[in-house]
Amino acid sequence: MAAQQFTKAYDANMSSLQALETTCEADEANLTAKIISLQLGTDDGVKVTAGKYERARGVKLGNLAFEQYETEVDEQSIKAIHQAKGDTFLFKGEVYVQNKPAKVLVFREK
Amino acid sequence: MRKIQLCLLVLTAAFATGCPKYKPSVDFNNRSSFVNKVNEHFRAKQLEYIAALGTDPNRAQTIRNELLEDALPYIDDAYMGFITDIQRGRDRGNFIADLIELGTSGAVGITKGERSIQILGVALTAFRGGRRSADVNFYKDQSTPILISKMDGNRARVRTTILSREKDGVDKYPIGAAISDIVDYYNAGTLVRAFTELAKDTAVQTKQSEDNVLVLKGVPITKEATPVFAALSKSASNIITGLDADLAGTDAARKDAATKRLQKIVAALEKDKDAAAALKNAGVSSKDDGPKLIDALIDIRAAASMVNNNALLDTINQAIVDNK
Repeated sequence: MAAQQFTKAYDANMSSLQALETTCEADEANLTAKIISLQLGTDDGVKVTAGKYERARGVKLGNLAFEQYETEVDEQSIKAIHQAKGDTFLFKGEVYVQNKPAKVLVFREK
Repeated sequence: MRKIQLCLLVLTAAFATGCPKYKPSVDFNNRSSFVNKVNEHFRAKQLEYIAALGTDPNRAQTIRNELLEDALPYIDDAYMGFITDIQRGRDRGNFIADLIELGTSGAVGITKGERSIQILGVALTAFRGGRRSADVNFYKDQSTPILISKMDGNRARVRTTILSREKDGVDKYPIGAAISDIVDYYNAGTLVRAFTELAKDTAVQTKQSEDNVLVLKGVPITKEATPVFAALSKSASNIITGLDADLAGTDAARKDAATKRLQKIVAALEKDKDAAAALKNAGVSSKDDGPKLIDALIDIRAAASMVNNNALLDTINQAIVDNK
């Protein structure tokens, strides 16, 4: 049976990427689910960041790390830095911060 | 004397073969001149091709390939002059003159001896005036490198196709198709085609961007969480995860302790009006067993999160943390 999924719509006017990260960590905790994607979206025509989660019981999820990137070079160097710290790369996505789209890499901290 | 003869022979060979055979100074603004040269070449080669077709298909294939390879330098030469001009920055009048494409515009009748034959020719076709102003504006909008890059890419793609098809026999790749490919090769290096391809690219990118946007309806919008709310949520989550593991394990004492703790948590929540309503709605009370209580708490917390009921979440999470 497929794991239960949840989709949340985040305000496009988050004050910072860090604020969105904290919000997603709280949602992982309260949904008892792990984040699986972040993408740009609209909710009844209003622009939002759509976050998808999948039910995950019996695992302590810990902290997330969101990193903004622009180019493929950025992407690779950020991945290398987190890999060196033992973090797990989860996915790359797009989010709104202060109503502007940004490309992000999402890691699970060790 | 022999040395002089040898030098003459080498020089003659170099000029006859080493230098490009087709190195006309193509005046790109003189459409008739350019088209006439290409068509003249096509006519001569096609007559040879038709003569060989019935008796020697291999020879016909060779002639067809010669037609292709001999025609391409004309087009390359015209293209090089063209991009040099636009890199230098042309005036608007010259630019409009460049908005032309070749077309395989029907058959050109040629009388050769006792019979008349039809061969494909090419014609320059003026691009519709209606597009000109928009294209000129686009062109003037410092996009020359983009256009040249697009044209280079278009030309390389057609050239690859031609090289690949040259291996085919005349039955699979007749001379008409070859001429059509030459026309494509020319057109690939025109601004008209660059605009068209760029428009296609933009359309694809727009489609991709649209595909990447998730359309939701009626999902409550979540504002940013405070660090305090997030910290309490994570603490409660860690406790729930631990209790869940204990209940799923084989240690009876741990199972019993987990059940008692869950009952204590739920008993505390039953004293809160909103939490009690949520527990009642979930069909649980503090007298239920551990697995039922943990399932209910997990579901209630998730449901509250989905509607951003942070007050209820704070109440439940605080009860989870406080009741040890």
